[in-house]
Amino acid sequence: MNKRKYLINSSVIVVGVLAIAVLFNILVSVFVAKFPVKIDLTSSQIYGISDKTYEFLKNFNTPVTIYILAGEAEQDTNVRTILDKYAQANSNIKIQNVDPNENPTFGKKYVKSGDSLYKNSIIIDAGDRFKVYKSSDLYNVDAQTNTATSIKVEQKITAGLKYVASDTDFTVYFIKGHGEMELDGAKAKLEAENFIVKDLNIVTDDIPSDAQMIIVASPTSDYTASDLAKLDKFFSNAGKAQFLFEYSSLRLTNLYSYIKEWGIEVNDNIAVEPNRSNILLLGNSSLILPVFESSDITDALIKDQRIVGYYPYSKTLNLLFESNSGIEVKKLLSTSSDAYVKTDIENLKSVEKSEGDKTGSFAVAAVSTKQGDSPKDDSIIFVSGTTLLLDVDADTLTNYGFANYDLYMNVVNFLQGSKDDYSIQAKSLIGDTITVSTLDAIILGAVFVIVIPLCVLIFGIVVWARRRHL
Amino acid sequence: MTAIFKREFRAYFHSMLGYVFLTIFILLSGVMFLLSNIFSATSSMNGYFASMISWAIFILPILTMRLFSEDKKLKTDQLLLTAPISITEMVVGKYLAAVGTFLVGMAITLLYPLAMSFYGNVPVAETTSSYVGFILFSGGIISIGAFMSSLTESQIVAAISTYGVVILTMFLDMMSSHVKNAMISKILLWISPFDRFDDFTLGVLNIEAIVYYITIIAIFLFLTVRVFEKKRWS
Repeated sequence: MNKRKYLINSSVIVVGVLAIAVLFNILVSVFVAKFPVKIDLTSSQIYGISDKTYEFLKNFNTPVTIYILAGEAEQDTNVRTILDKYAQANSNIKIQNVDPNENPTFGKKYVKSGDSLYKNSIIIDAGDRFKVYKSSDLYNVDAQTNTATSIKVEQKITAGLKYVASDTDFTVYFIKGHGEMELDGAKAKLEAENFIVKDLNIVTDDIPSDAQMIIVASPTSDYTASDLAKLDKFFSNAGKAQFLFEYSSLRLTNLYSYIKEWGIEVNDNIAVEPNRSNILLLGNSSLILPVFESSDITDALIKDQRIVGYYPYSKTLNLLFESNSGIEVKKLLSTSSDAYVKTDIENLKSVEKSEGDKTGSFAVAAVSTKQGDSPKDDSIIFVSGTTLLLDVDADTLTNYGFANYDLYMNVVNFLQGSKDDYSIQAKSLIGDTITVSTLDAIILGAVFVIVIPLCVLIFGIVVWARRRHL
Repeated sequence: MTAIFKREFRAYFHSMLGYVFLTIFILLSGVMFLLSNIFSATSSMNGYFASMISWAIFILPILTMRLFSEDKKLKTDQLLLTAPISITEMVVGKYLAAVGTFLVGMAITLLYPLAMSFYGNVPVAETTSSYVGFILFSGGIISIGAFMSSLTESQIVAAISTYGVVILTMFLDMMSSHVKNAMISKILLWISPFDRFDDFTLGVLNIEAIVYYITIIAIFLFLTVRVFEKKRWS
């Protein structure tokens, strides 16, 4: 009897406690729904906007409407949260939802005929100038898993606002005529950043007066005196240029001596990096992770620890002086001091170090500035021993963790003379990239997978063996 | 309670059990860290914790399988039940000893974010909240294991039944996505300890999820106490 009574009592207690526990959880849920107490440790980082943008918004006085092409219920709340920050910071900026189901023709005037706008596109409209972003423009997506890895709403919206508020365009010409390489990735990136991008055959055409920057990507035949005269004319008018080479662009005697006048000598060779910590993980020894030298262009990257440049098969550069009669030369990237160079490229069978190979730290990218009457009149060239993988599109490289496009856009901004650099970093949804060289990865692997577990096990066996005899 | 905790915590490290657990835990954890962080070149530990959550189900019962069943087998439970401490203190003390041993392992894993900080920025918020979430999740599994151990004399049965219960809860997620009825689907997801973990990986400390895990721990420890209460009566 007693036992039965106990069982009943006990069951009642158990059921009662479970009921209270469930009820308590429900109460908490109800409470949380009313007073959101999710402690968002990241909110200020992912869904906030940077001081740079706040600074820019302070003096922004163009009336702008930002349209979200989706109803309130279907809009991307991540994007909306960030856009609201813009509207809060500056009353000239209005945000409006347009549901394409209710208003299907709304987007028509913002696209070329034939194109259509997708749901959740963002349109920044300042009346006579506008800028459209697809939803996919606002995220970096991992090509393999098709998941968003980072969000770049601020990067895009700030650049877009800057674009619609200005009335000048910046025109970039890709030079053709000497077997140059197509840098599709760089073209797309520059267009996405509101540059006007055109091609130009330097053999047949003059450099037009609207050209503010020219890009020479790995020519395979040399420049003629007439080509160089065109360059001279261009530079005399505060021209900005990029000369990107490849190990396969050889014996460009005239062009090399032209660049040499700027204090940068280009060598026909490839740099080989024997230092395991300066080589890409699992890469071969020509895939250099260059050392970033401190400069206006690289300092921000160094600070963010974005120090991978993936600089394969680079030519080396000799910097002839730092400063000489109004020309300033600045080293941006170099190899480690253990690197050596192979010179006979056409007959190269192996990149193994052999006797007589020159060893040392070699520059692989540099800028040279010819000072004009005022900083605005400076002509500047950027010279690089590779094309920086700029034929690959920006998202792909960025997803692999390479900072090439970050570096490249910093170079472009530097050449463009925009001191107030708004190239704002995308905010990672999956965490930051870390860069570990092969050697370090092996060491870390050995320590965490072998050494530490083994130490614990051995310690355990010792303790156990001792106690067994107690 | 502290006396029980001390005795049990020491017992883990005087026998091989604690070291075997730690070795397996750190080995697996090291491999997961290498795969999901070093080789994937990211300092976000989401991938690491996602795989560790699956492994935790299999490793944590090692800690709990002998928690009560051993005493039962050796009949030392009689001593514990007659000792001048309450059953609750005894149960909580033993539970905390198992949690403590697990935390020793977790402390070693703190070397990972430390190591990564030399190669890039470690997202402090997400990492911290993931650690909090993972410790709460594991605390829940340990409490289930403790309860299972109190039901049987056999360590093997204790371990396997813990796997059973936890794997059953794993299916809750799957079941809920197949159930048409929104209410039932919601209830199934509500019970699932896996679904609750997601917020933590995003760097969000969700009070609901924290209360949920603490409730799970409290319920299973309470049930364990009831098992011993019942023994007093039988």
